[in-house]
Amino acid sequence: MKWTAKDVDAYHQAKEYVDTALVPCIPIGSTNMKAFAEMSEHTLFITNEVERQFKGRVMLFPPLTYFVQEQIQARVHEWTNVLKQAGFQHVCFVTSHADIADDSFIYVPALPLEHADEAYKQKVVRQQVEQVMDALVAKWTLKN
Amino acid sequence: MSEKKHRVSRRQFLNYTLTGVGGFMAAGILSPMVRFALDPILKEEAGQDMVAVAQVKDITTEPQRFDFKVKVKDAWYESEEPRSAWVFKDEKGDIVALSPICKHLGCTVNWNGDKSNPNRFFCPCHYGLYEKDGTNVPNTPPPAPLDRYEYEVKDGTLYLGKAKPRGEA
Ligand code: FES
Repeated sequence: MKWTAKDVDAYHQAKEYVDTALVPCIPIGSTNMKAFAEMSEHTLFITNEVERQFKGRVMLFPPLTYFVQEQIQARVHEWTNVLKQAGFQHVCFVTSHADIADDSFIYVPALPLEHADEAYKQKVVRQQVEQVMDALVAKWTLKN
Repeated sequence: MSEKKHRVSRRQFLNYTLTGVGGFMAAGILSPMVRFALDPILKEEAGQDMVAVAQVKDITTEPQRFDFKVKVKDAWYESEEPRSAWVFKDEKGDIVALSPICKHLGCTVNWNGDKSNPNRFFCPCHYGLYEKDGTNVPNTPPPAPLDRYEYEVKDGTLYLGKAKPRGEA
């Protein structure tokens, strides 16, 4: 489900089934803007695709957006706590930003620009979508 | 007497006019509401074109997933949305194209997705199960069978249209 009025209605009807929060993390930088914009596009594309396939159990939240010089860990903790309190047993952060990607994130590196090859790009994107879905399924099976 | 009659008819006149004005106002308020309510229905009815999805010679008795794109018109712009279908030939050799969208809450189902339930479609979200023909397995969350795509075969190519609840397709 997405963070839209319509989907939130659906969420209220089916709360007990939607136990996973998916949060894209998007860096903003004042230099090297293009690279950050690419990370943003990439992360959002991947998380959208995961939402499409896992709609019934996953709520895709609007991105946690931060400046590159910000300390992000504290905010990630806070989001995790708040979302858990709201009833999301599993809270997952996804990022393409290598600098922050530790164990609390699922890391999906954006594609280097030089690779113009469409088929290759699609393959990598598909693999990353699967990687995120596998990570979610792993969380679900651990819990049950 | 004549005055009384006169008054009554004036009241009647007022009654009629006011009802008339009120009616107009009500119509003014209601008609957009009715339009809004009907709009999604009208939109859905505006048929969808058939899309080429696979070569018939590639279709086996084992369900395979084919991905394709459909053009979706939203009031302001047209976009392409990804779709998938699980396609196979049944015992009679007829093509079956199932929508992978779980009838419970809309996750994507997989053929043979669960080791302990071979030859069934599996929904990883809440462990919904469907038989090969799309029938939902009782005592799993899905309330209905998987939708079936309308299909057409032309020159060896499979075209898919809209996915419809079983019984309609
Ligand atoms: S969405 Fe498929 S079982 Fe719940």
